[in-house]
Parts: sequence; structure tokens; C-alpha cells
Amino acid sequence: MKYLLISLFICASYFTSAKNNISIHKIKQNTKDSIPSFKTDLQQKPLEYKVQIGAFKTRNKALEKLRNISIYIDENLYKYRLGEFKTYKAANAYKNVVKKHYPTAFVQALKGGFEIKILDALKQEKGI
Amino acid sequence: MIVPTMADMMAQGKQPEILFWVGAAGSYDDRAKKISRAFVKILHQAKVDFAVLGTEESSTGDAAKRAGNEFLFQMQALMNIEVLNGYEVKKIVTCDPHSFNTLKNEYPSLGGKYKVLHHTQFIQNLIAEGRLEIDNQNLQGKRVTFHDPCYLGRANEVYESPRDLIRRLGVNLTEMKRHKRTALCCGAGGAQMFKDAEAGDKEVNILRTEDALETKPDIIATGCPYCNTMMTDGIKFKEKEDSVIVRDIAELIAQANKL
Repeated sequence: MKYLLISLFICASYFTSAKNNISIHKIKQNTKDSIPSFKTDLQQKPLEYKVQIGAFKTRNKALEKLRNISIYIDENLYKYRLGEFKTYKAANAYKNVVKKHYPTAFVQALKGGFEIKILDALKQEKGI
Repeated sequence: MIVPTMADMMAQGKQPEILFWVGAAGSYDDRAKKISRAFVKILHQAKVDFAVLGTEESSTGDAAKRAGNEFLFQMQALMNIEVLNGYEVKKIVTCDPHSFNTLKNEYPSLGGKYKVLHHTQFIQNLIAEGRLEIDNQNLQGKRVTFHDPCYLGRANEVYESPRDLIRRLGVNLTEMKRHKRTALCCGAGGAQMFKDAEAGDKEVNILRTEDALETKPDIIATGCPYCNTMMTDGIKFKEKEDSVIVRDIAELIAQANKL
């Protein structure tokens, strides 16, 4: 009976997680020593945009029920982001929809999991 | 209310006429947000092509510098300058005299050279260019006194732009005994807004509110979100909130034009 309950719990956890499609990322912290190679490596990484809807000191179970939510753990903050876009225009259009429910939502540019400035992302997108 | 960001503009390959620098108070303080909204309504009415930095705008570093943390100021300034230069910003308009002073006078030596205007100067230009008119009927006859913000008035000698706009409202402008070059601080300058006052007999904002109340105003006009807070607190302390209101000039124009 005990093993049955444990199996049921594991199955339930797996299906809940699969249904909500949560991805959890730990934001890496670059150090001074790794900056030159870090910058070169970052150039090769694909650029993506996500829409951040909230950042909290503790995990937010309600937001984790959203479909395609990504959680980025940044030191002492849990950052909740939606979607995955290749262009700023597409991410911004999605942000405008999301803003109706999450008024403080904004577009975050990422490269290889690292947060980068929107300006740098736009320049790369435009090949400047 | 549509407020485009510089990133939106860049994504569309456009360059706006001005960058509206919202400032920390205008972004986060609920009272000051009303001033930002009023100014945006005016920009829309005058069909000004503008944008904000949005999440890319950081503190100008004014509070850090005034509190003596030059290192933090320079870090904040350089981050902003990198973004502003990246977007090739040429002209900045702000409702906050602290941001106005810092962007205008302290950023150039760090590589940030822009034409910086206070919103009262910019609105005055819009009127001169025939792009905006102020309805002088809706506030007609009200007694208004103007409190000169330190970083607009004494630091940058902008005295006439706000007064010119107030006169255009059709109101009765009355001056306090201390005005223009002899104006008194509201008590918020030098990052004093964020700390307890030094020991003394009276808070500076109470003293300044007494100056204003001597003119028996219906409205105390300001051109600074911090002055607005300090004067509003003074009015509450004097229990005059039923008879005297504190408004930014942008709010008065938005009210006059029924925006």
C-alpha cells in the first residue's frame, strides 16, 4: 500500500509538471576571470525573448500553474517568464496581450540563459 | 494610453522626436504617476512623437550623488548613458527637475550630451510652435501660487516657463514673499526626501507651506514630483486639504484642456 501511494504521488507529480510545462533555470553568475571567454561564448548562443510577469523572493505556486511558464532563479529572486520568441516584435505583441492580466509585464532578452539588454538584443537582431 | 518605448521604436526603425525621461518618482510613486500620465495626455494632444525607456530607464543617480555616494552616481549615470547613446537620443524631456539638472549638467562630462528640457519648457515650445493651446476658461479666476523647485529655479534659472503656462490658464497668479531667486526649498532636496530631518523647531516643508498659505491660494502649483509630495504633506499638516490643492502644472493643463 505504501509503495502504491508513493508511485501514485510520483506519477501525479510527473503529469502535473508535464501538463504545465514548467522549465526551471538557474541564472549563472559570471565572474571577472571568465569575462573574456564568457563574452566570446555568449556571441555563439541563440538570442531569445521572454515576457517576465513577476519576480518574487519565494516561489509562487499560482503562477507555476500557467502553461509554458519558465522560472529563472536569480540569487534570491524567482523570476516568472512566459513564451519564447525569436524577435522583439513578436515578444512585444505577446507582452501587450499579457499586460491585461499582468500590468507590470515586460520583455526580457536572453542569450544562453543570461539576461542581456534589450538594446544589445535589438542591435544583434538588426545586425548592427 | 499608448506609451511607446525606445525599443518599440527601434524595432520599427523609427527615431522619436523626444525621449520622455519619466524618473523614479514618476515611475513608482502613485501621486507622481498622475503627473506622468497628465504629461503623456498633453503629448498625445499635441501629437508629439515620443518614447520612454521603460524598464531600461534607471535612476539618474541624483539621490546617490546628493547623499555623497559619487561612485554609485557614476555607475548609475554610465549605465544610463550607454543606453541613451545606444538609442542615439538627442532630446530629453522630463517632469522631474532633479533628473533635469543631472541629465543637463552632470551627464555631459561622463559622455552623455543631450538637449534636456523641463516639461514646462517643452510645453511652452509646443504652444509657441502652434502645436498646443491651453483652454483658459476651466480654471479661470482661481488663485494660484507657484513654488519654484530648487533644481529648476535657482540651480538652472528656469523661472518664466512655469509662470507663463500658469498665466495662460486664465488664473490669478500670486507670488509668495520668497520666490524665484529667493525661493525656499520644499525640504526634499539633497536626498532629504528619504531621511529624517535634522533636529530643529520646524520642518522645512511646513515653513514653505506657510509661505504658500500666506497668498491665500486655491491651488499651489509645482513643477516637481518631490515638491508636490512635500507641499501636499504641509497642506495636510495645516489641515487645509479641503480648501487648497497641490497640482503639477502638467496636471493643471490637462485639467484645463479636459484631457
